Amino acid sequence: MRALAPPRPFRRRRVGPVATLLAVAALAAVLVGYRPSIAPPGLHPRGVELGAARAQILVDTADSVLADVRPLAQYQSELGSQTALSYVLYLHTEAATAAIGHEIGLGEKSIAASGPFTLLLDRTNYAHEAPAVPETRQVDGSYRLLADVDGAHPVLSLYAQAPTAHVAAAIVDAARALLQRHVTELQAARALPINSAVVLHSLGPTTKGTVDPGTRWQLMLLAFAMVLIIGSSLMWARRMRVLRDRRTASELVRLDRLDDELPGSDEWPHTKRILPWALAGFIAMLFLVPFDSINLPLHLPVNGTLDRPVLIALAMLWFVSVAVVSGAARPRIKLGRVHFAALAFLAVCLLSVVLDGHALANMDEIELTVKKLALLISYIVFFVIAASVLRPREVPRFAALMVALGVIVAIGTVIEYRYQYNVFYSLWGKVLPVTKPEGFDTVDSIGRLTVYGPTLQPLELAAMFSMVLPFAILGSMDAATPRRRLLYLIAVGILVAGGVATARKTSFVVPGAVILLLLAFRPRDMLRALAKLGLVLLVVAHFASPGAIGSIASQLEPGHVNSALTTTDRTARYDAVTPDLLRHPLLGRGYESYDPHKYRILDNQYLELLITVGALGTLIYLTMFGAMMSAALPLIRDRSKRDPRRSSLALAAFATVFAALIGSALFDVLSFPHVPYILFFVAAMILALREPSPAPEPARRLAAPPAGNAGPPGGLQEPYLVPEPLPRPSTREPVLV
Amino acid sequence: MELIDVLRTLRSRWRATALVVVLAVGAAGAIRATAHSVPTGASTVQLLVDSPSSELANLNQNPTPLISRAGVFAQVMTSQAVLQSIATSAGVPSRTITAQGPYSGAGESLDVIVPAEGRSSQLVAEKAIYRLSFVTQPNEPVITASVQAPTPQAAAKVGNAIYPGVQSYVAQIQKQSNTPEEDRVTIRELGPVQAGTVNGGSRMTLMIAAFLGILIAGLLSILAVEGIRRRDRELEQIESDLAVQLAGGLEGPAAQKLTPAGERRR
Repeated sequence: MRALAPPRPFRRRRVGPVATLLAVAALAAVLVGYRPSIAPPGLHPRGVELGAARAQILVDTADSVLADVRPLAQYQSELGSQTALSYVLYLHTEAATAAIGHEIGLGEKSIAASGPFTLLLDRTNYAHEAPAVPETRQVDGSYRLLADVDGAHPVLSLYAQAPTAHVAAAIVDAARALLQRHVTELQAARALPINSAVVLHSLGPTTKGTVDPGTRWQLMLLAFAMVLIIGSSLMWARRMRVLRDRRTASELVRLDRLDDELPGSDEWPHTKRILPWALAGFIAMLFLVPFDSINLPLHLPVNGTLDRPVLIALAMLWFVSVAVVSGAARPRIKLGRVHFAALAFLAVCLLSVVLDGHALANMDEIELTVKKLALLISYIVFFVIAASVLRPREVPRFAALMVALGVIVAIGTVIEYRYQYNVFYSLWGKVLPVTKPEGFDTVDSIGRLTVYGPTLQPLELAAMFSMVLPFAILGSMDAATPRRRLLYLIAVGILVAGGVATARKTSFVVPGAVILLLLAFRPRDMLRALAKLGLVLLVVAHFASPGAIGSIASQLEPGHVNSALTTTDRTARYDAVTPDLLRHPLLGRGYESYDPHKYRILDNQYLELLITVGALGTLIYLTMFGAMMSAALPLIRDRSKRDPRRSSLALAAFATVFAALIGSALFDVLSFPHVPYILFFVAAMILALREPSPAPEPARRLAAPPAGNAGPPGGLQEPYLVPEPLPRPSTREPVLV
Repeated sequence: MELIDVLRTLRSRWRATALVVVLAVGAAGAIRATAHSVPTGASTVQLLVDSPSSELANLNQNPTPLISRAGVFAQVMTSQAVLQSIATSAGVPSRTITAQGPYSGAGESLDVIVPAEGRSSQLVAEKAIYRLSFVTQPNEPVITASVQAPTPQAAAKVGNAIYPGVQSYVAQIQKQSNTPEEDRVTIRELGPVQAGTVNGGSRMTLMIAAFLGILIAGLLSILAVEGIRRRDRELEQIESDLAVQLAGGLEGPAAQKLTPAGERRR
């Protein structure tokens, strides 16, 4: 028999794969930045950079309006502006676009022309579906001209975008020259009095510049890092699967059954611990109080909205508990993958602000980013507190609390939809300084009543219902008694009715996605539930919010879903924000510095993150969701079915995180605090479900160590406990047997 | 990972931890050292668009044509031609000046619907150190010009150059078009330039962000590397235990299935 050699060290074994991975990553980086050619062999730079140019023309007469005080009257100014508009439309013509294309060396190709954008034309809800005329021109979309007028002043602005700044300037110059020739030809055809003939004044030279210097290298670096991270993660996951399976199995074995009796347990609501009660109060505030519209007259370094002082009080209480209390009552700070992902996201957000700090300060946008960073830190602080306080047996109770609060909000929303009376803003307005949002009790551009509930945005309200819905659905499926089942079913109906009352597509899209997800995990139970109750729920929703289902359904009809303004506005943004995306592709322009009131309302968290924290920040944002969901998965997939209750709650929490993930594509969730606070609370619930219940143990007080107690050598000093005769062993959070 | 484990890990890797702290402090210091480029100055000036005989002083005159003209002027003032004239008056390079607007009220912004081509031009101008914006009044022929600059003194300098710059440009046009003296548009400055400090906290904000950002990222990197090492050690332990078990428990044909490197054949 041949003697067995000892196993080859892993470090030596992984040199080959690592080298291969590095080579693939380098190849990907090169291919992102350059286009290879075989004949002749070489690498050609890809057109990832953008050049821009701008110029202005004044439509004037020989007696210039800038010089002579006489000629300009109101109607003359309007005539000038109308003439400017006709010039813009001339620049759209086939002849003009082809002539400019020829001028800048595109040969037979035309440039793309558009505008004016400032002079908004009448907008209807649905775009007209006129028959499409076949395009006879060959248009090169990389070379773009935009001509703009505001309809009130006789000034015409020309903007161009092209692969280089030089070509962009050439487009503007060519357009200006073409327009000048056009006017001269018109005047030559028919002689006009000298004061009636148009004179085009060029308002200075064309300005030009590169929009995104260094983009190629950033994109190449991103591609390299992406391939490296994905490849090494896959290699690591493959190598670690044995260890992961063992760890998961050992973690699951430790867990007790939530439905088993635990005599003398100290769990909310049957507890004297203050922190769970404070958490419950905070959650109640999230649901019932329009806290984001309540600005307290406090001198805080950030916004004085109601959640901040409440969170500060909660944090102080938590610090006192960590410092003073010991035993099972002490908050248990255990950092997991969600903590790391959230902190990594915070770090990237901070660095994105620093790296573009000069430009942000230049545009007076530092204050906005500070407010948003403070909000992000609030979410993370709340998560850390909740994750350290919650116990597994408290999770079902907090889930029931969220469902109950969601039902109250849904009833308030239905009342607002039917009677135009916002319970939350009206009642809280009597005791606190509540500022009603713009458009309160009004109809939006497509005829939908804006229903706010306790939030600042109907989309936020719809997302809130969608996030609570999974707990209600799974509660109805797993209820132990018929009475409880009935209560949960009623809750599902009211939550659906509340969502429908917002009249937003989100209230169909997100719950639809959640139901599909639950179907994937528990197909039989979900099909049975849907078959029995689907129709009933629709009827309940219809009678609670009459007309709302029809309104949403019409927005989602095949002919309308792509042409409704709320959809076309979203898709129109993808092209408009391309320069912003390419300007700082790796780390963005600074966290949440893209002011929607100043630039553009994006209604898409991912797009906003790509602009403000770049691809890296967006990836870490997604990683945060991945961390939350992956923490719930082992409990959901527990094949041994040790504790169906934990599994069911984990699935509901998983679906809630998924709802927020989908919601992020429909609006900027991080700007509307209800959704992120609930998301992070649910994440804390997931982490609590992964822990065993602590054994009943009275709270103990920490005391200063006696002099000379230096703690164990080489390690940190453990907190010194006041020696008291205790009935239970001294382990802080013993595992139930 | 319990908090105590985190602290132990950072303590055991004290060199890396110290390096991260030094880097974080260094980054904050670097921001402080280069913070002279963070704009902190602002100034504002108001211009009246008028006639030589001052139509505003004449009760029989309708000011509407002047209000319309002020709108045209505000638009023309954002053009490169006027900006060059202002830059010459201020004695600064014209490429360092950019202009926004004209806006016709505090709450109205023209930027929210700008397509890609227009946005590209805005982005190119983002780093210009002197930023001018012009706001017209709906009922008065008055244009309010605001300047943002690296220092209050620089902002005042450019603010003071707006009136002569615009005046010089208008005079040039009047000369070209031979406008009679009595019909010439007259620009008047309404009072001296007001200058002051803005963005006072920007430097401190950026310093704190740099310190925290690098500190958090660095400490997380240390913990991540340590976590990977720990798991690697655990796995190697499991692998070696498995190899020992296989070597001890298997004989003959079963042992032959292992390659010389100790790996099981597929």
